[in-house]
Amino acid sequence: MKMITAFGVACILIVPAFASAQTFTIPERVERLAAKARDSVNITLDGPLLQLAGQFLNSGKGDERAVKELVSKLKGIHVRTFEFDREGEYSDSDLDAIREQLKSPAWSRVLEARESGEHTQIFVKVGKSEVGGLVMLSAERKELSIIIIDGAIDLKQLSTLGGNFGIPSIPAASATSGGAARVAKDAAE
Amino acid sequence: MKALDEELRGALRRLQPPEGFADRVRQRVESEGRFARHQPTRATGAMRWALAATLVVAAGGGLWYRAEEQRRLQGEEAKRQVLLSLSIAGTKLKAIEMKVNHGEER
Repeated sequence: MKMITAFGVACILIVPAFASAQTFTIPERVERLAAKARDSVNITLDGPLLQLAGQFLNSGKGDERAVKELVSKLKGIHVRTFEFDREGEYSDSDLDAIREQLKSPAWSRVLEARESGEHTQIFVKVGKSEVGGLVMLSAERKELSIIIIDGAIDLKQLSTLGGNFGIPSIPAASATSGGAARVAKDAAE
Repeated sequence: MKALDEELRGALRRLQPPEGFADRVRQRVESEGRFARHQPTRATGAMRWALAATLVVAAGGGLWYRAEEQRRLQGEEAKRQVLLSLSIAGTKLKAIEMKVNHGEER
């Protein structure tokens, strides 16, 4: 009887812990795109690696202090970017398996923009008082970007980091060309 | 010739060793062996311990240094990846923001 009670208590404690600790899976289909891409970036950083990186970020340097602060609240980062020579090397449905992992009520789609064959989506994890995670899916004609940031994040702060640390910023002109973006600021899908 | 044979036979005949010969030889070997072996003194014992301790410290230090160096390299690489990924994310977010603003303006 005691054993059953202990097991029940353990289940009650463990199950929500697993449920809240969502780990993202990048589909094999997406990973295989690297072989077709001219350039690709593949970064996966889990909790312990982020903590380690945080120890090597200098609190004395302005930029790094901001990153250190930001990283201290993160649980994981996944970045996949692919640049192709030709159009049609991937399809928008390659991202469906990722979209499947971004269901409400935990996740909300805050932005959706479709224009001339490009599809951009931003999902945020709804936290108690702050954004608990961010996913950006950007499917352009010759470029595909998947950015998953798990953990509390300040979007304004993140936006200021673009193009810093000696990494060139993506030309804004390429992102803003074409027709008007249809913006869907709805809650969940 | 016969005399020579006799002489040789006499010289090479089997003789029994004197009484207690084997024991005396054994005792002699044992006593000489004991003297030949180095007797550890207090000083040489301490030196051995010091040498062993030095070796242990050196080996431990080497292992620690190697682990620390590996950790440093891992940390630097993780830092580089964090900066790269946040920079990509920030750039992308900024680009999307501009795209949306541009669309709303028109």
